[in-house]
Amino acid sequence: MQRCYLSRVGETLFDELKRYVGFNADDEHVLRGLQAVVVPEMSRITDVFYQRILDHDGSRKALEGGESRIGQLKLTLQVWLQKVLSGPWDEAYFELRCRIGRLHVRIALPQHYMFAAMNVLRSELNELIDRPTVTLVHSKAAARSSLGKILDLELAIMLHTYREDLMTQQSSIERLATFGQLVGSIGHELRNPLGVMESSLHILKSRLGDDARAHKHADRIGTQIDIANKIITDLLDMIRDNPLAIESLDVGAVITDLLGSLTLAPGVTVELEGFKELPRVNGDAGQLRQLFLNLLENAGHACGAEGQIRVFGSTEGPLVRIVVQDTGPGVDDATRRRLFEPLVTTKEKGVGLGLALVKRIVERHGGSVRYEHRPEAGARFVVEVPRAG
Amino acid sequence: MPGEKRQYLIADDNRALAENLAEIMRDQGDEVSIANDGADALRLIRGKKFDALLTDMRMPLMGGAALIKAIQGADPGLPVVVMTAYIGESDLVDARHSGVLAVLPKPVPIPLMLSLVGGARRDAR
Repeated sequence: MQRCYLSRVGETLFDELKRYVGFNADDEHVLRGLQAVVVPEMSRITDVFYQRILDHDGSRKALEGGESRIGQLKLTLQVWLQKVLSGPWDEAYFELRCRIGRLHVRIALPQHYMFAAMNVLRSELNELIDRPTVTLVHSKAAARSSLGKILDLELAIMLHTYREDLMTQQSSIERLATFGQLVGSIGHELRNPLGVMESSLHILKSRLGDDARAHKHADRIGTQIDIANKIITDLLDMIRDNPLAIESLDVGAVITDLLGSLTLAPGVTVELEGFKELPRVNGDAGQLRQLFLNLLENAGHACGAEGQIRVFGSTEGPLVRIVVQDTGPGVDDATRRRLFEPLVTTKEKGVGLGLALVKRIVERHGGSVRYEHRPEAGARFVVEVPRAG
Repeated sequence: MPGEKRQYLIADDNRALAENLAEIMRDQGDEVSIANDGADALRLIRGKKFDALLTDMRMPLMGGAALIKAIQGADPGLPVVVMTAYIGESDLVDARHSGVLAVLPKPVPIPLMLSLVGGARRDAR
């Protein structure tokens, strides 16, 4: 980002932005002076702000957590507005605003709504300043100008976080494309020698007679060939971009069906809840099966010899949510941040592709997956995919 | 025809794999010929009636897809089993449409392969 502007030595991005819009100490005084007028009106302004969002189909849908959270969101907006007028407009301010921006990135709020939303605040505040009954410490023109500058800065910071996110995505896409091609050709090439080994082993096994040790080692070679094959299959699944075969699916049936291919310790139980009433989803049966197989295999592994896996389905607006949780040790802080990246594993024998594949499959379905931390409890994965129809 | 040896053809440019599979089939008492690519296989097919063909998809000069197409002219009754490391590719979809008996992944699941070619009947498709 910094490279796009002519920045001065030692100048932070925030300094540079302030210099660009011409925000200075005078503006800080003017904004502080506005507090006395704005604070009593803040509740009304935030009401207008959210009413405008609710009146518009698109922006209403973008509200995280739905309309029930509006009361809380209004309070957050009041705190935000308070800070806009009181400062201090320092690096901590910039960092806080970046965090708010990233929150908007995370919930995928379309950028174009931010301008309209900011304009609601701008016109409400200007209308307040212009009221004949309102008297200010500074001139009304100065108040409008300073307010314009700080709101422009707020927008600039928001856009900065979107750009930051885009650049991170871009570099990871490029890396993955090169990496993917390499992985693809190595994967396929490795299948040839493995195929020869496997067929040779087949012949060898029929000629071993009753030598128990020879059989034990032949079996061991066979198991290892299977593991190598599984790794190649997972890798190739990671990079494959064949179109999904989308159909209307009963997720409960997909999960019930895969339980048969799941190997669990005798002390581990699986419970399914809430699938009878669950709406169907649009998905690729094979890919969704793979997704839940990976999650359930991980859960089984986490439980060890004894434990409980619970899988429950529910509806969240336009989404179907499936939660997979276990009674294992959960995921530690350090691993949690990188949980869905390829080649991150906590298993002794894992390669770290299972959850990366889960993320890839769910994202190809237009859904999301996240890990929810449960203090003193096991892991919980939350998958959300769009419902059919 | 009971007692008579079945005749199979394997087409794969991976010679070691082709020979291994041939050895396994011969252990069952069948006769097996090996071809290194599609053109080689087609030459053998023109000279002899095989009970089944087991072919790879990716081979130099003439690949599996071209071979399957050519067979429709040379010996349309020949049952074909495809083996491939590239499950899900477009030439494979074409192959399925030209009526192959089965498509097996590589590494080849041997018992399944044996039962497929063993059960294959000429002119059954």
